[in-house]
This record gives sequence, structure tokens and C-alpha cells, in this order.
Amino acid sequence: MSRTDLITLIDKYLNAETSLEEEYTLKREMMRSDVPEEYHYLKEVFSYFDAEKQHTEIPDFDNPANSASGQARVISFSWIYAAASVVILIGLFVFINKNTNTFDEDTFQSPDIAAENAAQALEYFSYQMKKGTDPTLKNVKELDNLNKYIAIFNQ
Amino acid sequence: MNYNQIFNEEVFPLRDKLYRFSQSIVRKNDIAEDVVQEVLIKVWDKREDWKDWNNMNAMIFTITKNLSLDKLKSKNNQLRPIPEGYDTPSETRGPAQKAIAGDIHQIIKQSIEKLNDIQRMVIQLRDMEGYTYKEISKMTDLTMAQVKVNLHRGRLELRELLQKQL
Repeated sequence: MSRTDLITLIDKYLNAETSLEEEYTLKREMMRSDVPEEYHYLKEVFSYFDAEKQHTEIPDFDNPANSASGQARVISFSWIYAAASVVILIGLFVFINKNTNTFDEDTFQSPDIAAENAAQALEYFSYQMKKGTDPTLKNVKELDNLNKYIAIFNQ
Repeated sequence: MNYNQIFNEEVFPLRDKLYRFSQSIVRKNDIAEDVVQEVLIKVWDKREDWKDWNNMNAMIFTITKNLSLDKLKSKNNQLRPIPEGYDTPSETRGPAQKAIAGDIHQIIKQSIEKLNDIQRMVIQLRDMEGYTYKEISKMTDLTMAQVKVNLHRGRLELRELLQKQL
């Protein structure tokens, strides 16, 4: 196609006067390298349309004709978000309540056993603390002897 | 009349075109997905009326167009216009800017999004989907003259926007 014919066809296209066949011819001609500089944008536009048509990711739509009831309903994203929020809130409420109950049950159900366990724990703590008494007394005795010697020197 | 067969052979295969068409109007993937799913269900629920529809294809596109425009009008789904000069490549670009903003695909997409709803719709149906003026007229409830005028204005505006940038 000559340059003049190409420009005429482009003008016709811009005026929305081309047939589908003419537009197909135009797209084919535009893919050639010798396109006038001012129409390079059109070449890119045609490539864009082709790419969009081929590469747009199409979601998996439910086919209502194949659904069991044939009366499927749309659940929009906003409803899904709302439902998810409610589930999270309920989950948190149950979790927090459960934790509080567990804390109460330890002593509420059997206070005698709890008191006994506490006494045992305190007794063990006391025993461990006592371990330090003997070495301390021994050290204090040694200090007493040292004090005696110091007193003798001072006299 | 075997509704299942008709739906599976004539309606469900249109979902790709309907999705792209709705996308060109609402400009948000998740809303377009909702629209098309809703259209498929609506068409199936109206199967008793199919016999009264002169052109099933055109009718389905019309439903899609109306639903998409409804969604677009709803307050939550409205897009804010991109302020002039914001997030668009400047006319004079250095090599670094070219590398960042030189995504031609993105530039064309942004330019198409600047067209009005009707222009975007007719360009989508003609230049991407390859429908005749008559088919587009039936799908969009526009007259043939209106289809051509919007196509003409949209293509000119696109030229104006893109010749500066590409």
C-alpha cells in the first residue's frame, strides 16, 4: 500500500467510516516498519488492543446453568469482606472468653487442692532460702575471730 | 427449548468479552467480575423470556452495560479523576524517566481511561472486540450515528493524548 493510500485509510478510520475489513487491512499495514512517524502511536494502539484481548486474565465464573438449583446468587466482594470481619470478631470474642474461663477454673473448681499446691510451693521456696543460713553463720564466726585479732593489735 | 444447551453454547462463552467490556466501563477488575457474574445469573433466571429477545447477544451486552454503569454511579465505586500532571509521564523525558514511565502499554491504558464512558465503550466494542456499527448500536442503545460520532471523537482524543507521549 502506498503512503498516500495508507494516510487516506487512517483518516477514514479516524472518522469512523471504515468497514471491519478495511480496519483489518489497516492493522496489517501498520505492523510494517515504514509507518510515517506521526502514526506510530496508532501502531502501538493496535498492539495494545491485541495484547489486551489475548492476555486479559479472565476470572473463573460460576455457570448458573450447571449449578444444582439453577438459582445461584451473586455474593459480592463487599459482602465477603463484611462476613470475614464478623467471623474474626466472633473468633476473638470466643478466644478471649475461653482464656478468662480457664484462669477461673484453676481455683474455682477445687480451691483445697490449689491451697495445698500453693503451700507446697511456699515450703519448697522456704527450704531453698534456708540453704544460705549455715555458710553465712560460718562466715560471721570467721569475722568475729578477725575482730578479736584487730582488737588485740589496737591495745 | 433446551435452556442449558443454549446457555452453555451462546451465553457462557461470551464471559470473556463481557468481562473486558465491563472492565472498560467500571475500570476495576473486582467490580467487573461482580458485574459479569451477576449478568450471567440474571440472564439464566430470565430464560423463560429468551424467546422474546430479538438479539440475544445484544441484549446481554445491554444488560452488562446498564449494570456496569449502575455500579459506576454507586458512590463507593466512583473513581477519582487523576489530577493533571500527576502520575502521568511528562512530555519531555530523560533516559531515566523514559525507563520508568516508558511503559507504552500503561500510557495507552491511562489515555483510554481519560475518554468518557461512551467513547471508551464503543472503542472497546469496535477496536478490541470487532463488532459492526449496527451490533454496537444495539448493544449500547445508541443510534448508528451516535456510535460513529463517539468512535470518531474517541479516536481523535486518543490521537491527541498519545501523539504527545509516544
